[in-house]
Amino acid sequence: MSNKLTNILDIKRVKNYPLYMVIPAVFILLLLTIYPFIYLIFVSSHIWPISPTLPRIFLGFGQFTYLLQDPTFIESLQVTIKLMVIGVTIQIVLGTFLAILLSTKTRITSYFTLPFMIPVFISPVVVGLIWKFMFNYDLGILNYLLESVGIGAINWLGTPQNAFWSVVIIDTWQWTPFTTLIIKAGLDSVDPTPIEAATVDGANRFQIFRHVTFPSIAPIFTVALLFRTLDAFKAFDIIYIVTRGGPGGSTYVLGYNIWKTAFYQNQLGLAAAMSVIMIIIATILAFILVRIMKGLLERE
Amino acid sequence: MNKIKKLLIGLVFTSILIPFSIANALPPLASGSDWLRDWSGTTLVLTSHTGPTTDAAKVMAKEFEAITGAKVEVIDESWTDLLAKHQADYAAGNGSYDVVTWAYLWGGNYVEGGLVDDMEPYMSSELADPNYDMADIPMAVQEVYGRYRLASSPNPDGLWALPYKFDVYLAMYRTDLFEEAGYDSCPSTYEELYEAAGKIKANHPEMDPLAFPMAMGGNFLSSFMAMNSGYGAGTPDSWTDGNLFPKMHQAPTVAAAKMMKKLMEYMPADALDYDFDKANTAFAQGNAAFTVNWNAYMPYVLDPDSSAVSDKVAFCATPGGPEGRYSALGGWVQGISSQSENKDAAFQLIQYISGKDRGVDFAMNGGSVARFSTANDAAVVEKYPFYPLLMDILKGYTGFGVYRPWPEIEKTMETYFHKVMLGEDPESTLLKGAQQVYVQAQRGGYNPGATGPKPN
Repeated sequence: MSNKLTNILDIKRVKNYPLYMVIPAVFILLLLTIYPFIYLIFVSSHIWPISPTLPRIFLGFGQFTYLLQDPTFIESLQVTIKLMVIGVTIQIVLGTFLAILLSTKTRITSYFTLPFMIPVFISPVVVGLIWKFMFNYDLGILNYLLESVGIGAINWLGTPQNAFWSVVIIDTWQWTPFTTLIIKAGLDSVDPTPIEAATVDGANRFQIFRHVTFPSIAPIFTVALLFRTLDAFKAFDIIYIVTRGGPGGSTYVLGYNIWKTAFYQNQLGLAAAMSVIMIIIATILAFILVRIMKGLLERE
Repeated sequence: MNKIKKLLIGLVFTSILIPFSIANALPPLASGSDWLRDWSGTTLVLTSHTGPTTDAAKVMAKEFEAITGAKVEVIDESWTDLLAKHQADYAAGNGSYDVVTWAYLWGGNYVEGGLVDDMEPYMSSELADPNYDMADIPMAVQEVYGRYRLASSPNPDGLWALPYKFDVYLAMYRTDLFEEAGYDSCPSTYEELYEAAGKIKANHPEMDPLAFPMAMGGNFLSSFMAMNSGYGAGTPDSWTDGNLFPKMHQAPTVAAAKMMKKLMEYMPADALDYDFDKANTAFAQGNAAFTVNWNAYMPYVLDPDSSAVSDKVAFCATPGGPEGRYSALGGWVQGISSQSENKDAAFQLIQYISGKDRGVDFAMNGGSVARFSTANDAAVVEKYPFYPLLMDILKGYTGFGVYRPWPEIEKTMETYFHKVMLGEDPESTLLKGAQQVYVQAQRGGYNPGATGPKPN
């Protein structure tokens, strides 16, 4: 009896048993990821008003050809890429410096680490509202401080350049602690022996960081870059709260454009086509970054 | 055993009597309310935007509950998100709402989109308020708010909505500052306003005399609309013609845009970030001498608790241009949700809120009512002195587009107008905007080509 039970439970007796074991995972993946993506492509090939009673017309690639000539879409793609490149670069550089500072073991840094992370825990909507008040030209605290030290008030949200940089400042304020945290985790896990050896050999701090520490944390560095790049590419909430895409479309990012097109302009098909393009670009970016990370890991 | 038996009998009788006592708790029908039915056990969901009119509607909804026994849930949300929320809800087929409130300029999405039912059959049914009196509602309001006569309409003669919130764009000015600058009345043209603003600025260099809502999201077009018609772009639609052929690149709109840019000299540096709230607050705090806004904002300026200028404010029509003086008509309307399961009750609630007999109460509670009888009521005029002006202004009104691609076209136009306000060349920039509007109209299923080729 006991032997029979053992035989039944011995799953290795089942032919191709590993295949059966991955079936639930594959099913869930198909249901939650692949099916919505295929449906998205299907919707993107139609004029698909969100209102249920309006006709849906098959266009093939028509939405995509329209988008490639649509100045608003091209402008919003440019703004998104600009925001992503500038914002993420600042956040990674600043995050690295702060991670190095916080990795220095002193009593102050250990007290400072947790409060430093607070912006990451706050909802982006709340962050947007806080900064919107601070950026207010007449009543905001930033202009009050600038004027009290003799610098004139800045028109934070009233000109295209300033509005763009205001969004960069907010994004940097919220997400630099995140990159700091990841890079700090990498720094804390670095084996101190090579650093000690390099110090004995007479290397200075920059040389140690460039030739010993950085190669060790490079894969983790790339993870931070990957997360932030993809997240910045999807920017929506802060724009929605602070600028609503203005002035003059200077902060009209792709995520906001998609939302507005789908739910305000009643064009789900066009928004789906924008989303497909967004997914393609994000996948290419992720692919490049993962390849870099893989290369770094292999080199290590 | 007997005791238990008595107790059980007592419980049975009590449980039978409870429903009767609840039914008897309903008040008798108020005088003039006998057209209302008993809607006990019915729950109605009314969706609307936040603000004083909806606060007043909540009071009306409580009365409706007390009279009919229905339960009314009022869901109020920021107006900026309402269209998106409604469309998403209807697409999901949730059937969440019975009474739907929308800005008339979104009419295409609600009527063509099948989100609301034609109310014409209800108006002649026994469900209708016999004293509703459509003639008491200005014809312009009836037409703009309730009808949808485009070729794409499911029924061009249908009545799709009844007025909910009456919005007219008015000007507010500081009598003390204008008098000091040598003006005893409101500027009648934008050129005159420009001159007056210059004089006020000279008297008060620290002040930016003009506070116009100029941000994107409908603010700019609201402020620009009357100016556009005043410079000759036409009325009641100064944006496109009947085929949705754009007008924004044509001489009248270019001239109006240049005028607006000129007025920006006397606006705050962040003028393009001023929305309705911010412009109104700036004026109420005494930081501006002249503003334009929807009448719904005016009680706030008249209230000494929220306004530093309540005793020195006067109202007038927005200034005019070389081709006349027009006023922008906005407004919110209510209709019966096509997904409602309580359409009869929903219709009665809509009529109860906007009915003639309750117009004065609605207005006194903070609602904005489009009725002659309300606008002429002495108590209403005493509390809100701008009411008679609203009716007068309707003689020359200009409005938003109501067709389905309007939200997209509105966004495009505002983007290009903003570019002009930021210093780009008006002619070439507005031409680019017009080209985009032309394509958007075509994609929306309209035929601007019937008027002419794509502008270039």
